[in-house]
Amino acid sequence: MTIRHHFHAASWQEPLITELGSPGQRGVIVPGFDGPSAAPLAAGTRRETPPLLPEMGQPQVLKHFMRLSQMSLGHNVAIDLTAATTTPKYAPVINEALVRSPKIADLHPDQPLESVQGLLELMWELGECLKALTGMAEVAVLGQGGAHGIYANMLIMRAYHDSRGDARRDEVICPVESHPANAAAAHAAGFSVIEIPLGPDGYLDIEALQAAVSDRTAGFVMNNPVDSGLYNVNVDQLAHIVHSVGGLCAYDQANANATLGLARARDAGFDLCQLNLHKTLGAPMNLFGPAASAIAVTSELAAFLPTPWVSRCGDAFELVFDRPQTVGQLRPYAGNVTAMVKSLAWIRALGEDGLRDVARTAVLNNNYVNAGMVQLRGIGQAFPENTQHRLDLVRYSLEELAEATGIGAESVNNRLPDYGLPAAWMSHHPVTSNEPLTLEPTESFSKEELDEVIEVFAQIVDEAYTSPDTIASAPHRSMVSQIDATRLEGGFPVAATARALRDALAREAS
Amino acid sequence: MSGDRRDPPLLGVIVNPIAGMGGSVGLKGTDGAVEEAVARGAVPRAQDRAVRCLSVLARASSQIDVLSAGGAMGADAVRETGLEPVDEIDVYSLSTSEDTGRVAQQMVNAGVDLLLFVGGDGTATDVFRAVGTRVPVIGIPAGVKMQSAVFAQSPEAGGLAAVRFLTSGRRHWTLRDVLDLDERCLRESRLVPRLIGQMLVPAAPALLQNPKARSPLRAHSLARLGAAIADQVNPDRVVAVGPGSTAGSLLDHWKLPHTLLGFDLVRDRRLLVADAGASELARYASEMELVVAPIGGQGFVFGRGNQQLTSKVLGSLDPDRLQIVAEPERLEELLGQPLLIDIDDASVAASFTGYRRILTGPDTWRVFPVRTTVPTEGVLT
Repeated sequence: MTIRHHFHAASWQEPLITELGSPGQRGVIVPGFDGPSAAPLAAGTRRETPPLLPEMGQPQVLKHFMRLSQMSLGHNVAIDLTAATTTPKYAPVINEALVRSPKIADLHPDQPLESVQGLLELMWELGECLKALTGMAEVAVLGQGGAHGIYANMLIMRAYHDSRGDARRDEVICPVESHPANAAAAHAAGFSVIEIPLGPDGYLDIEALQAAVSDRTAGFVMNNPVDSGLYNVNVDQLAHIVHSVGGLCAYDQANANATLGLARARDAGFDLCQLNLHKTLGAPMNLFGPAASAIAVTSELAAFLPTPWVSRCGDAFELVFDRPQTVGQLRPYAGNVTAMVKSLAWIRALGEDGLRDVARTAVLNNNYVNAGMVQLRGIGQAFPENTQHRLDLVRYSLEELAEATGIGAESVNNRLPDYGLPAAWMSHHPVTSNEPLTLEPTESFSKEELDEVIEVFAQIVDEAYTSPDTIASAPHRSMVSQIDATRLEGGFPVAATARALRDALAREAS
Repeated sequence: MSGDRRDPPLLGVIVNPIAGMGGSVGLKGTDGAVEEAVARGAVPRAQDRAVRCLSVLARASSQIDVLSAGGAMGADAVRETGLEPVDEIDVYSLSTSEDTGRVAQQMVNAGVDLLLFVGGDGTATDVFRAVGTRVPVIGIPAGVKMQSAVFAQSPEAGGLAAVRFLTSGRRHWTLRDVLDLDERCLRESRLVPRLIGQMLVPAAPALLQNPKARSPLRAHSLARLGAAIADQVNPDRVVAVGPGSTAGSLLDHWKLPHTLLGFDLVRDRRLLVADAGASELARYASEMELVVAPIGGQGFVFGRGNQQLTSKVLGSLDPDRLQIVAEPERLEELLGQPLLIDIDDASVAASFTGYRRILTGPDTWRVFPVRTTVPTEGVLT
């Protein structure tokens, strides 16, 4: 494959849906209903004016969303290994057919357990697979997503220490490069967060960890490998330091692609962990959803798991609710069943050896791209003094390129869409290296696709040295012009909803 | 800076032709040492750097008008790139501080949209004193010392930042520190950076030095930090708040005025002493809590920019009552280097060293090494 020099994104100039339609247009005319009606809402609850929803016909709604999909460099059209840290892998489309089968789609969450034994068996079997992959004793697949799973880990830490009358432990330790959701989950569970800096080798500073632990340490949470792609080989030593003061160790395994079937959380000395079905384990991540995460623990912590989880009793399967020390229910019912079906289908299709091949292929693909990228003038790796092979992703540094040409990571990202590639992930917060840019070529990309990405970067690097203003004014063939990352600072309205945007724009205009 | 826009936009250009000359001949700066530098065979480099930067403008497709200082202070470099200044401002001598300041002021009066200066911290200081925050600036690095956060990563990066800023639909800028080192101390191998003030620079994070120091929501993050500090200090005690906007966020939170370059003493959320000196600090030291943030790019906690904290003051302070605060980005910028203390009394200094908890946000601490400095020859080279 050569570079797509003539790529051009569809540019429909499509307005927001809130700006479309006109009063009185309808997609569906709901027939009248003369049966019994519910009691009207209390006056204080009832809104006084109807919501300002767009009013549109069906064909206009369909066109709107088709246009938006054409304007997106989505997972199913673009080589999205640039969407690093999301484990951008192929989720087999056939699995969508499974969950749309009436056997799943028509189930009611309240129907008697005797009538859903097959589904419970499937959930149980998935749990057994996850136990085998983590080395843990018990698992509950109840998280709505990765952060929810980590939050459950935090609640379990709290419940464990409380059960021992050890309520003074109010601190959770995180390496600074650990996913921001870890610190956020710890805060949400009421802990203070103690961050450990990185050394120049990109590993957390062990002396700082030793200085940080105390009888106030509830626990420690980390990713491994981290977003630099570095796998911390001293992970068991870190767990030992935390255990020595009575803390628990939680492994954030949201992205376990590099170690699947090769290294287990329990063997690294960790007490509990979380896995994402929708990233590592074959359920779709990129907006297909729904997400789901598993919370896995040692037998010592099993009593604190959220409920309900599936247990086997002879040939029958049941949902376990009756756990006096449980941290409680994380969500209604028994989890995101469709994600579980897709995930088990993916695991069973691959088998034990296939899962190991996923990890090995992802690592191989990443190292192939890595070798091509560092050949390019001005592109290096973050933490260059650490010569260990990166595993499933690489944090690159475009510092040298930026110094020589004025073209840094942000500018390169503005140029990538001109060649049909989505902008690359730069770094989670905090940014620990200069001009960061991250790529994650998972097992799902062909060698031709990997070569195409390397070629595009080579092209852009060449442009940076020969015609930097082409890049500075990019993108030229995308559906949006430059996104100004600093807009908020200039007072552009920050709005998370249509109403907030409308209000903010009105304020700005007045 | 608001209202009708000049079209094409107007860029002011000032070159400090002697900037950087001291560096090549082992002088750690050129302020007040031009003759010495020339005698040692120094070669001017500012003109080259200016041309590299302005070439980016010359290649740009959009029309940008240039107003430059005369001759070697700007016009020569502008012409070398094939551009022609719309006007020149006469200069009388080659780049004395007064000349730089006067020209900068005239440029603001002429309505420049952006002021580009080629030099080092000394030039930045002169420009700051003349124009303050009346116009956004970009420093093109050509000096010996460039501690200030107003410099582009390279001349080309500065040129691109200027083009982007002048031609973009909405212009955004941000406040960045201007720092200078006292060159007389520097020549004795002592680092004494001072916070001079803050200037507006275009918010083009990837193009300016210390890209990690950016935060599109800095005002918001400072407000959070201010609230976080307030949660930690005991308001019944005297609280001494150190220089800089980071430590000052506590006083912003309490809606009290803050001395940007000095210490304020507060008790019961009321201002006790504004801009306190060493003797006032010494008077309260044994009972007070101290809130300081690392100053400048090197992570000094004591001994830079806060010399009011003498060994005597710090000797009376309970080390547990020191709260170092920092925006996380400031700690990242150190790239693995520790925070530093440089005060005369080694045993007092030692009482504050080791891994300390630095408050970086609400209920969030970074465990970070704090060490003392051992002054060494050539520390800057």
